[in-house]
Amino acid sequence: MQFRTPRISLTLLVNSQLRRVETTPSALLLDVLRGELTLTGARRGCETGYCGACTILLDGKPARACLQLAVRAQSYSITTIEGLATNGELHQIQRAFINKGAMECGYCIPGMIMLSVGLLSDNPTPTESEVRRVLASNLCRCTGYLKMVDAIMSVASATRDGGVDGAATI
Amino acid sequence: MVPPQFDVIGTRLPRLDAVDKVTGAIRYVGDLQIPGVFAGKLVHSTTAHARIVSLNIRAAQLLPGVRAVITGRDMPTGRYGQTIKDATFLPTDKVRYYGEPVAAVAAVDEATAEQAVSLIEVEYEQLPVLGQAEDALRPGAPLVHEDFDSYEVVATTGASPLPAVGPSHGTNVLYQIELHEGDVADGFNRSHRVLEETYSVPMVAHAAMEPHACAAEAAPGGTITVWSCTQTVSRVHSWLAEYFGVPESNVRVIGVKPGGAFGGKIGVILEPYCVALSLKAGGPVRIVLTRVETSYMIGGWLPATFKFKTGVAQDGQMVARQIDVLWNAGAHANMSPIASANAALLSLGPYRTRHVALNSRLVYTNLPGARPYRGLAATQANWAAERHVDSVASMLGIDPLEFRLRNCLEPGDPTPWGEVNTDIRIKECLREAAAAVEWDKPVPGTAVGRGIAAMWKFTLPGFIAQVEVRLLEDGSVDVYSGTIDIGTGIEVVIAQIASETLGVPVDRVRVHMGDTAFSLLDSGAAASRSAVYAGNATLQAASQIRDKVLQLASQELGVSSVELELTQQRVQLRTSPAVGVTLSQLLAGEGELVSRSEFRGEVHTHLTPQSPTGWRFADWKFGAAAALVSVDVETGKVLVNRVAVANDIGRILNRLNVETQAHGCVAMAVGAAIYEHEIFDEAQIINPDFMEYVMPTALEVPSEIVPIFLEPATGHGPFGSKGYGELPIIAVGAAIGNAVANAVGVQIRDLPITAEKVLRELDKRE
Repeated sequence: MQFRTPRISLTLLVNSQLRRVETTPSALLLDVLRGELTLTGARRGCETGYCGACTILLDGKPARACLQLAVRAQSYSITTIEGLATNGELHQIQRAFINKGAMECGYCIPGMIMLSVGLLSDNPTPTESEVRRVLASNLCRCTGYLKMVDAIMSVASATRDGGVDGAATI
Repeated sequence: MVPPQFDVIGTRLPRLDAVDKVTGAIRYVGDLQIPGVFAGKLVHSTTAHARIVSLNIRAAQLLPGVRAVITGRDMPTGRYGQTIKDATFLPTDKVRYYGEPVAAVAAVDEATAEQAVSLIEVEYEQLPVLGQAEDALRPGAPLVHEDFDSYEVVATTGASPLPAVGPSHGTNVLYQIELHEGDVADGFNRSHRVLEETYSVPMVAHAAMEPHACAAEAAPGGTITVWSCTQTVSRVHSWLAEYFGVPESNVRVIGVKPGGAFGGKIGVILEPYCVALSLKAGGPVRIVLTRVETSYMIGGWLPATFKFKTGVAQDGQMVARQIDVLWNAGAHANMSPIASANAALLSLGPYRTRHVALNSRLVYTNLPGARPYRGLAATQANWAAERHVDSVASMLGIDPLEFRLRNCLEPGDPTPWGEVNTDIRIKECLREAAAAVEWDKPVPGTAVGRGIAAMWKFTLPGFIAQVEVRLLEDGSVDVYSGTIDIGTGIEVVIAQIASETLGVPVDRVRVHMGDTAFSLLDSGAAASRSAVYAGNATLQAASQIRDKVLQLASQELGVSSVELELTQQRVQLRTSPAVGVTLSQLLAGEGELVSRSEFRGEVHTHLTPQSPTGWRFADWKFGAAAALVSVDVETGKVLVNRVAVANDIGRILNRLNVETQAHGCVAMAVGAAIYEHEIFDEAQIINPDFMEYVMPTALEVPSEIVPIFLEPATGHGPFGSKGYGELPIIAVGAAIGNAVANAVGVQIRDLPITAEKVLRELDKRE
């Protein structure tokens, strides 16, 4: 027996661009981003929304792309890691992750960075324990997290000191 | 020649792929855009030990969109194994662990492949299931491998200087070593006090964030191309060629940087399924495992039970030690014979002991086959060994640091198997780690405790790395290496070595890794090996080019090459730097300079007359970990506040890399110490997903991780470095266990130290 899956057409606002995709009603946002839109920076580390490697921003707030139906994402502005750098300039969180050495294998990094961007846009000058609490929603097996905390705190501290580009750019 | 000063060695240079990693541009196997790729899916056994009575694939074959269905009949008849050839990809006779693949499909998309998998019917005849190693040892226990005696043994001794005394025929014991030095019975008789204890370690998952993935494109009688997240690219290349019976030149393995590996991506894993599916489907096939499938198939580290018996003299010197280790290999040997032998030796610890009896047995069960895991089982052995050392010290009323300092090896002391090493810094490491948790001050607070543990490790001998360095005409550099960057940052380290040697900025060096179409032989990114092996080969090859450059410049400038130096893409007179020639001027018309070198870890140590035949690569490493913990006596929860790890790592090649390795090791160690445990119902993992398999988040890692580096440049790696990727994980668990005992007087001997266990012990005392 074969199931005939209906196809639907969706319009998604991804990284400030309107993208039209043909997919199924049950397609997950993560699969559409990675498949039809070839935005592979959001990654699958599990199937249960636990690891956070697929974290993206919906209207500026971190969300799991693997727990979101693509059809429902039409009502949001979607930002993926690919849309974070502007005019070829890395976002300050991206730069901080590089400078602090806050990465090893890199698989979880886009999710961690999107999570951090969401955190700082909500709370530009968090305490270290607030940063840890938010980072704890994603998993990293390589780095031990402390250098990520460092990276985020360095951006927060630049903001506190009146850094030029502030944290809340998204 | 070691340059007197370094321009880039030892700096905090970010990894070369850092931008790709923060922008998401880096492509893992699952991210690759492979035109026309079919989705591959495995059919897993739903029982841990059973005969396969029938396998019906007809309905799956008929499903529209299905391009291939394969079973054991479609696979080569040979067996595969890195130590013992005991594995078949898609067995036809029986399954040996829950989740073992029995068939595979390729279809136009994931949904169709999943549907096809659900249409495949397998009928099993249940066999008795062996979960515990003890069950597998019982007389009359069913055999996991009835044909074991006919299996080919590839290599089992590894770095162990000891000959194997097993396997025992007709049992599930697949490997055994023994060590007898002195007279252990007499030693115990002469001891002032004797202590016996048993410790155990469950299976712990690698849990790399990237589930295993592989893609392959194969044509009948033609070529095979594989994209793999393997740690051992060139080994997979030769093993695959052998398994499919094709010339190595027909196989190309493209190593794609893995999203974490930790030993779980060593060797051939998914490649044969992808190749066989592709042959049948007539197009490329990719398999990306789910998290649950990864847990079933990859299992975790090598679990074990350790019985320790130690006799001590009145002055606190260890006199006699008897250690029995029972390792649970699971269904396949993988690297476990080597891991078990090494870790059993390491369980003796870096201590002097005259009388030693060591027995290490490795048995098959129906758990998933254990795999190498960061530290090659040294971490498991260290948990038991260093918790036991604390118990012995406590029995004598001696401070645990003081007890270790009294017993640990001094430079020049022989090990119990007769090796002598003069490069031993265990005492310095212990003192540094202790100081980092303020050992000499009172413990800060109630239910707060400190613990310490010592560690040692060797890098395995008998491996190889070949590297080719090309100095191009414009003065830029290509380096070709068969290793792969699994997240350690070896890529930037290789670039730093080439840059330092050739006087070329790092951004003019490109490192090409892990594609067998152009990279050379390399045993792979494992065992803290790449910096030493690929690093040395890079240094040698680059040095040969440097010599050639100086020779060319010497002709050009009419001076002796000893008067010249190569720096900033220029060869100039040492005494008058204005006189010189640029690399591009020098190479114009000369063409590229190409040099190839290899490094083999074959360094002999001094051996005593008792063990005259052994040899090993003498890259010894020592260290210590100290932990400061607090225990919530209401809930039993252990919070690790600070962990210090001190190691003699030699010359640091990239400081950012080693710090991150230390942090990552400590986080993994905290996980294994307190949270992680693959729980089996008989032999079926019941927590295969991250929802139930609890790993440390940013809230559970220590607030302070203090890496301490002893940097005497005495290592065998480039510029006196040593491999570091595994060292800081090994002693942390025992240090935490010792700290919990120190905090609340509770002795947990079976990992992990869950809140439940601590609370149960606390309740017992009330």
